[in-house]
Amino acid sequence: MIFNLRSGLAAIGLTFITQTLFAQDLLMSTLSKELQREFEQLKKADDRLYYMSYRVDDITTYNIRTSFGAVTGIDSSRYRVFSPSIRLGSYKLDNTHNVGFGQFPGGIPVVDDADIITLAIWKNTDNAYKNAVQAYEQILTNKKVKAAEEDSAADFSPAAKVVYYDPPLRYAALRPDVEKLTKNLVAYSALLKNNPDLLMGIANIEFKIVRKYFTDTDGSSIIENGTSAWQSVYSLTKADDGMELPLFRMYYAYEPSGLPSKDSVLKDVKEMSTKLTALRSAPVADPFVGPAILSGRASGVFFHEIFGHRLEGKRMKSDFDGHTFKNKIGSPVLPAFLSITLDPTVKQVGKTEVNGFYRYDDEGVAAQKVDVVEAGILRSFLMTRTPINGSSGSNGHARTAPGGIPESRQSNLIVKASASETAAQLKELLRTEAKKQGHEYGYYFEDVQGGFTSIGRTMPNAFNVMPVEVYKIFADGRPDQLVRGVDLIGTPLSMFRRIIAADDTMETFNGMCGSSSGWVPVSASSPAIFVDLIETQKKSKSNERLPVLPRPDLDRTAR
Amino acid sequence: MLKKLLLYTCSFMLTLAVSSQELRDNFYVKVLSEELNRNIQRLSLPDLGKPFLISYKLRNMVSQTIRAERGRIVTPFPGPAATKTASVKLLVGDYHRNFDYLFDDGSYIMLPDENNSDELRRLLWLETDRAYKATAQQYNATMAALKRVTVDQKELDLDDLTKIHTGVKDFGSLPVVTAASTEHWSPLLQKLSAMFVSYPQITSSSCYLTINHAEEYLVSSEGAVIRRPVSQVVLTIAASMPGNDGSNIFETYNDYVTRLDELPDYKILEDTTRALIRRMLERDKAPKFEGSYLGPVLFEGEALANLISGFFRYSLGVNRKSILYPDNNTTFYEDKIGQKLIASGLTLTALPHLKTYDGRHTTGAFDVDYNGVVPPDTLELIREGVLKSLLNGRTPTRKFEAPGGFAFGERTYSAGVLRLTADTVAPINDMKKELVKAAKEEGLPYAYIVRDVNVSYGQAPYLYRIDTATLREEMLTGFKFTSLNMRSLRRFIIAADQMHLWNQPLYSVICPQSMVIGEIELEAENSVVKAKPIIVSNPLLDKKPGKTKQQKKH
Repeated sequence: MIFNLRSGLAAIGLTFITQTLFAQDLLMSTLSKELQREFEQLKKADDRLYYMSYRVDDITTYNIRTSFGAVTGIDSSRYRVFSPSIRLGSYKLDNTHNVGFGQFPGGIPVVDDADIITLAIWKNTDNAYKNAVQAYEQILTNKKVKAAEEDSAADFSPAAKVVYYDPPLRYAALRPDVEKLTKNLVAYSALLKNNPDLLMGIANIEFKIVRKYFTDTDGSSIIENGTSAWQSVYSLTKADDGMELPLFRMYYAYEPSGLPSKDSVLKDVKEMSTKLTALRSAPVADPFVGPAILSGRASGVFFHEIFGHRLEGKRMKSDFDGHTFKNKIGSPVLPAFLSITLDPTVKQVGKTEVNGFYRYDDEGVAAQKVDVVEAGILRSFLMTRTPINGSSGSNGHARTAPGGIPESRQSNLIVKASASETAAQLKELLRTEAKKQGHEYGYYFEDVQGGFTSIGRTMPNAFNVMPVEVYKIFADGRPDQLVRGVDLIGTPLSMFRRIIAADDTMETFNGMCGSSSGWVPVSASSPAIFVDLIETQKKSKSNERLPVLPRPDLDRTAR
Repeated sequence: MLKKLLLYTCSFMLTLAVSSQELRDNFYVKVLSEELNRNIQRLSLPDLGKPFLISYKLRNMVSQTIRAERGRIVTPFPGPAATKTASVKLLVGDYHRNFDYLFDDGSYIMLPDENNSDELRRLLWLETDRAYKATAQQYNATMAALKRVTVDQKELDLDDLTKIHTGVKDFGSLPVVTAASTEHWSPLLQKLSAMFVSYPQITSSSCYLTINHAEEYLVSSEGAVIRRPVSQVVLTIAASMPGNDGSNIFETYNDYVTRLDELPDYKILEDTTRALIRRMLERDKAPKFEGSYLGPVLFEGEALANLISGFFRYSLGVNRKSILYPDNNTTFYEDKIGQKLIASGLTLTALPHLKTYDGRHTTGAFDVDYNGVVPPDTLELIREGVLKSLLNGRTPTRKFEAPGGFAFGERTYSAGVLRLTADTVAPINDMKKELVKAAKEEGLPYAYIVRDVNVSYGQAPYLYRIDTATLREEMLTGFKFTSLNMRSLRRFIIAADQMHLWNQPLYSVICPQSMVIGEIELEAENSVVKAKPIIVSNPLLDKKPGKTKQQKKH
């Protein structure tokens, strides 16, 4: 349900105030009661049933969108996503065996009426049960007709019973200052309009309030609140050769009040605008193999993509996964000066608020800090309640987007270097290495828009980090040169051993990670790293030419 | 008298002129016109044809839904929401050859909430540029493809688009819905939806009101500057329950109007809801249709309107034959002009301007069509069973060269208001007798009545069997119509002498209250698959007595 805030500001406050605190507890009591009733009756009908859980994500959003100084939309929504989980068989083998899809989430009306909620739960549970039966029969057949799988660990494991309730949300108190936020966003996007080179200039904010409910037949009962505010500034220009050149600035905070000041964002936007103009005329980089520095943000994405995804335990259960590190616990996988932690229990890294915080994961297990690499040695994987050979017991990393099946997913990735250089020393290392390799220059990757990696067996295990701001660092000390149209590519194992040094800073990339269980909030914090050998390829580009006519507000002929 | 008439004429012209200027000064019209003028004058790439026609459509819509279930409002934010969209039509070539009837870009853009002319124009600018490049590419590619085929010269000689001169026309702005007029609906919907609480076997139910009001603008390089209002209000009551045999028994009631004050009053809605519930319970116990039947059937009320709409709403439009590839799947009714399509006692007329009928507003009436062309007041499509004309827009065909004014979208047409009249009629109260008489003449022990039920995709969930000897009626389920289509109307027997208006979404049907059609074929529904019932017991039936009241005390 989308609601236009402009036309109903008064109504929304009223709605939230009248949404009683009692209603929030009613949802949990109704979920628990119906879970018990469903489990009892289904168990009587089918004794293969051994576990059930219910999850509800009660989500409220506020969105403000502006473009080139105009308000394009202000709205709000409230909805509940219901995700029943039903397990047939046994802990050893059940209907979820190597199934990463097949969840059938439903909706629950946002109303404090036990009967209405119960009816929605009842219908969705029946659907989930019937799907589970079908999946289980298929798995049993597969076991008979297919060769034994490499991983023989069980499909599920018990977990400690948890009872935790965050206090009811006071929605009225959380309501953001829409007017102030709108004014700020208008100012940000209006600044971009001043640049005639830009085709788009957008500034948006999404403030999300989530109250997550979890209850299962083992007696766990969890209600956890969470808030997140994403402010983004996005702009786009186009080079004469048709290449689209975007730049982003993303700001994350738990609440809008934690976002950077207006002046500081305006400064960033001004810089971004100048950079976009420079990018239009920047030369296109040729494919290259040689030394490079990845800024802390770029390096964070690099580690998230090429390292973090290969530590996600549950996916290693599958014979189709590349198992890059499956049998490497206790072995060196990174240079000895690097350690990596995945820590969902922290809200900040340094002074920066990070996006991957939660108290309990989506299987009802307490979030835990996991030191996955200590001094270059692989120590652990990110585990759910699904064990794999050699690793068992969840460490609270089962995560999913609302309505999905929880998988092993990353949280707050933090890279630490025991030995570090200054940024200037890192640059000097690059120049020296470039000379040594006979290159005129090396690359500096200042900012990235994201990346992706292949971790299966059918496709090459390659990665692609997509930079948006790249500079040539000349070996002879000439000023750095901005270039465009370059992607950082490679294969993980060969890349890890080329990391030579890190600097003494820490930068954070907050973002959303999309994988088999949907989009989950994550962060990656890292110092800048120097790599003595990276590979780049040309970025794919549009061949659409620039618009024929000038932007209307700049068209002097027409005025 | 002449003087008076002239005076009237002058004042009318003055009003029109003022209204035209007001419309030209309208914010959206100015924005659309400014960007359109710039593009039609200067948009061009070297060695590529210039656009010869650009038109912009803008839709400014305000929507609102209030939904209640089991006595509670379940819409988190029931306030109105506004959306603005625009679409660009751009043609390269000329009126004779542009392939407009072959391709539909179909894309539209979302416009900002704020009325900011720079931002609106920026979005139109980018979309027009995209449309130009795509259309020019497509035009050149199609011209090249045309060289590979041999085409009937008469078809080749036809223009692809008819020239029109529409000018400035203002039919009104966005209809206003006051908060007061919607607010009183919340408690009414709550009360109506609470009626289902006493029936725990009904596991899904809702009552909701949806309002979609809009103003649509059309500005074109042909000089069109048009604004027209669109009003749609629908009240829905829907419920479903698992049947004893595992089937899902679903009932829905929709009331389409253009104004909130035309919705029925609460007492009628309460009776409607009560009847809907009664019907659901009756359907659960109703016996199944067995065997087969070929004979007369009486279609009553909404069932007849659905039938007529299903037969004619989308079929009686002109189809242009492609000059690029053969099309064996389209029925070209143009080739059947002058042929008998249905019984000679039936006449079908399009009445696009008919705003009210019997004191009620029609939902289908329009002043100008999708292209800004004014349709005729009436168009006889079928006279005494014989096809006389078709609905058309700006795409010329051999028999329909002039624009008809019936375009509903890109290559879709609508009569707006469709009237079916019959020359053989009987008093409405005698229609059952007429049915029985027709059945007896064929020696049938039973006949059938399809009453006030939605006949969707040619099928209905239940009907009534009437014993021709005792006149006793019995509800039956589990049947299907075989080959129910336009040709079924060739066996028209008799219609009720009273006409009724049935509103549908942006379409209205005026037809007799009921009609007996002969040679309708029925057979038992032969599906062998049904969803399994829900395994766990219905939580509402499982509740301990007194629990509901206790919970509500919270």
